[in-house]
Amino acid sequence: MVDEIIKEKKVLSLMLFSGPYGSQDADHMCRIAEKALEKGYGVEIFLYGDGVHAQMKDQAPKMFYNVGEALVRIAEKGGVIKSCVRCSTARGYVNNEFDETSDRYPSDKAMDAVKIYSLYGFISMIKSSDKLLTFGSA
Amino acid sequence: MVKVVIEISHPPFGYEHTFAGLYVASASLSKGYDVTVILRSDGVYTGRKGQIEPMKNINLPATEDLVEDIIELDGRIIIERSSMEMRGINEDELIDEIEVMDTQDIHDIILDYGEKVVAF
Repeated sequence: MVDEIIKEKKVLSLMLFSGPYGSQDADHMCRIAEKALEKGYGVEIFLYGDGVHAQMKDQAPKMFYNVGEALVRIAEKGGVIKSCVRCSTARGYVNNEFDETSDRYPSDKAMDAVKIYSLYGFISMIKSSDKLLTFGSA
Repeated sequence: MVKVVIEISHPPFGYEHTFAGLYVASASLSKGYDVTVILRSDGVYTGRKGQIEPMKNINLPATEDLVEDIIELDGRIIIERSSMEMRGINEDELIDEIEVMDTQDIHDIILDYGEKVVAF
């Protein structure tokens, strides 16, 4: 699917390394992702390190921008969102081995909009990106 | 072949950043990418040799193992001279294959050589 995006559109790849709500990194990333989709970019997101917490189901911030809802909107508009299996396993998200049918590691805590994946999900994004931005890692 | 520069400025202890960056480096190498790792600021501590045994003694993984893997896969690892010197690290304390480089030359690599730069 990513290969198809690459042929047709410019691709913006985004990596999030910090969790939602503790900083604005996740907000900034989601907002630029939505803007890029509006502008006709293909958007790929990789959640890495504490960034994997952005995949948690049922996020309910009372006052802040809802990162979980933003990721769902991004996925609905064609954004591809993956998260690191090593980081997700360490933080208790992964239930089982890789499932070929759903093309992800299964999780009852992560939203369907995010695929828990090997780090190679990010490695291929590095290659396919026309622009690569990182949030919370530096 | 995509040219990836991975800049690491966090220390190897107390943060996940260095492991995350070195994993990206080795996974990129295994996909055939051209990889340059730049250690600067507190990232220079990753360049010191002799960390494997002490880390084993406290049951923690050592970034030095990952650095050795990257070198074995023909990745290039560069350390910024000024960051190293201001932390009192000498060249003879470094893992052998690491190159010491001046800041201006590192900027040339980031700006002119690297096609994709990922910072940790």
